Amino acid sequence: MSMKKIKLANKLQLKLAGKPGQTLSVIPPGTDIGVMPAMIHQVKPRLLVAPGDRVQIGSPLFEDKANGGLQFRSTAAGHIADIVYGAKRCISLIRITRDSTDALPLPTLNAEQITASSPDQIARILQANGMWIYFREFPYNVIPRLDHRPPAIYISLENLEPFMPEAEVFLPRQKEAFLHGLAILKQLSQNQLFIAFRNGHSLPFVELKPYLTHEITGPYPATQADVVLYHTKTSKQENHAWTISAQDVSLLGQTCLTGTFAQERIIVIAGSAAKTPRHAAITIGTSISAITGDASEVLHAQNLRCLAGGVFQGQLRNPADYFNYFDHALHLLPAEKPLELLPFMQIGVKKQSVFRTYLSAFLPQREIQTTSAKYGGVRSCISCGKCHTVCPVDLIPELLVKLHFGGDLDECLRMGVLDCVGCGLCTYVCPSKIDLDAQFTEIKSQLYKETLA
Amino acid sequence: MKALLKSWFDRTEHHFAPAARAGAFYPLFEAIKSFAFGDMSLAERGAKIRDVIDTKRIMILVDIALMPAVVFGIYNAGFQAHLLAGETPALSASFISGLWIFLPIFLVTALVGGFWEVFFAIIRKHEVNEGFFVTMLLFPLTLPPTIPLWQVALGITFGVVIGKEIFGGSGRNFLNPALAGRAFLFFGYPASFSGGVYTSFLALKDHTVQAVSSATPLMLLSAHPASMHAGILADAKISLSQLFWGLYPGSLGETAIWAILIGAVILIVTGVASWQIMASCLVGGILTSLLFITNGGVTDTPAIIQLILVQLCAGGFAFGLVFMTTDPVSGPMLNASKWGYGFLIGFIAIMIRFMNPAYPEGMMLAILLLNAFAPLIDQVVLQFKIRKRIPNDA
Repeated sequence: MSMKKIKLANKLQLKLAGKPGQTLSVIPPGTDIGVMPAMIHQVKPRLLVAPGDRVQIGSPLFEDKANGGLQFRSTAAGHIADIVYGAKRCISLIRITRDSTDALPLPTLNAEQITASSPDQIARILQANGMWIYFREFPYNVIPRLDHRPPAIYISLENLEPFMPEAEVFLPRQKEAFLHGLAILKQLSQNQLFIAFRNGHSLPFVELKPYLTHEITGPYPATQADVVLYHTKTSKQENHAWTISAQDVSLLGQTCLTGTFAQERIIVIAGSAAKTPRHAAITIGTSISAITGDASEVLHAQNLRCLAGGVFQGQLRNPADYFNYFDHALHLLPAEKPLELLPFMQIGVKKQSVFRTYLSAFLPQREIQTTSAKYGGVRSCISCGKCHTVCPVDLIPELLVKLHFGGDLDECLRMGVLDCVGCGLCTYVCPSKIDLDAQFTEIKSQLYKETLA
Repeated sequence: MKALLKSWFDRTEHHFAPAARAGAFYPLFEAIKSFAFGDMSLAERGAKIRDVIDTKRIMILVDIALMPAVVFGIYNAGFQAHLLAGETPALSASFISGLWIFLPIFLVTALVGGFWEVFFAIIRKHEVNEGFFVTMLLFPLTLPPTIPLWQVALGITFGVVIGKEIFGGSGRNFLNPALAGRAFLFFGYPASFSGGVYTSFLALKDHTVQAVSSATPLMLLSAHPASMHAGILADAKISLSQLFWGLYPGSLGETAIWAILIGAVILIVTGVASWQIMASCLVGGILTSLLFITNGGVTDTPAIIQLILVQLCAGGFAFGLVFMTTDPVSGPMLNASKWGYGFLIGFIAIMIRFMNPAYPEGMMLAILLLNAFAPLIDQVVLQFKIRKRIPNDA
């Protein structure tokens, strides 16, 4: 296929403090491993284990009642220490005491078998060895139903959200597994596999070249799979494409080659409260306090916020939580902003803002020492128009939230709310501090429930 | 020092907790605390980092942009008062008299309007909104210096309550509240806006009244064809230069075009106001003036240009263009709509001036009319935009 070039005009260039270096350290998993089913959105978990049970790497721990019993597997071998329930008997935590490295043999798919397998056969293998959980189906961004097959798969080599693991660090280490994974996905999607890479960046290895289909220019979230899809699609049917993160392709390839459920992931420890922002190899299920409890990792532990993920799309975590299957980063931020008198009257040489209302807008850009403060109370939309300018898929966020407030979901649909990629830029810039992206997630959730009914 | 202040707030906060005695007054407590320190809450849902901008910053910039017009307006009000009393006005005397004229109007606006803002915040249980920072400075500037204070109170009440609060408060009004208040006074108490009201009698005391100019430049020009305009202005000894520098009787903030231009530059450079609306309104005003002036029998190009500039500098056109048309809440939300919106305001304002003898000034009416039509313009533009999207209605 000929290369498609997509260029997104400079919507928002942010220089944030706490960018992780390319050094990689290994965080030993210890004996305390946890899985948190209630945190996985759109999944209705049913427990398959009880306290005291012995599990191996790859043993099923719980399954999704809402998706034909799709199983979620263990990344550690040992015994179930306890199971903690939360509000309304939701399964808050499955705690495992890790004491061995036994692995459950799972179905494999080697190179010769790929070309001989149909998409259905491949799908069944991926559902049986636990890798199906890493797919996401657009537009609702959910794990695909077991009977769905991808009309197309979009993969982005680089995630530009501050801060995510860099392909230059993880891909060279996972080369064989990644290429094997790509071959599987190519067969699964019946050759509708689209790989987006960032213009000007060197490829981790040359074998990727024949797979590349989209060349992207632009800041976050230009390389995100659904943004690429938006700028590529020419018909409604293409809206149901799938995606999977680059690193998860490696995990998929590795599991299909070895028959052992992939347990390790390379994450980043990042943020303005991280003493040594860097890449780290962790076992999925490691406790977050393995990092935050270490005084050499964290600045001002009293005013700390932990996010699993990047600053825009990351989810709030407690240090008592555990890394789940889909966490690619641990972001450490100061929670509150420093105390300041009459902040709105400041000249603002050091205040970095997207708006030109502070003097810093006319001076060279400095690094932003991010905090998790809102910097303002929630107000009604004042139609400043900034949210329209930063949206990567040409939506009008202010209009969508007003329609949602008025209860008009049909009109939201017509205005394109399902194209929303959840990048969070509109929410970042809003001076009225409206939680726009949270509302869009809610709208999409409501609309998704209607499709299930 | 700020730690002391913060600890005072922290100690007093429990008095305003929901169940406490003064719990209903929490919005007032919060307004004062966030005025001092900004909002201290964290981002809980959605993106966990946010831009440092807040609505307070945006509103305060509009106030800063208004300052040149305010300062000159104060000086001018005092100056005209002393002139009327037959004295040669000294700088400080003019300022002091001007403050005596302006401050009561401003304070009544701020206190009465502020009361309504806090009242609605309390009964609706939400934080006091900052939109009033702008309205309280804008409203006095549209009024004549001799307006009775009780009318100021009524006007701002109408503007804030009927113009804004009944629709849900800041961000939900479809009319500009300051202008709605002024329109109420204009139609309810027209005598306050006609005749010799544009000069204050404050400085008079023991002096006798000299000749009172009983009409603004626009009133003089109204109902006369354009061919007579130059002559009328010459007879009244009003020059274009005077209209630009603003040292003549008029509403408190509208006369000094140079001061308004400084405000425009501040608003455009900081990106707070839409330059598209300002530019299209200017173009609309110029083209419409051109139309009426050439139709009114003026053929000489320098004279045409002169009269166009008179139209732009006289009355509330410049002030309205910079500060009223650009109010984002009452205007259209889409950028493409702004061009049509601004142009139509300029067109209708000038058209009313030339065609309707009952309204020498058409700017306020044009803005209010287009405020009502802005959603329609948006709807039309929106239909074109949506047509370009590939549907995603899974």
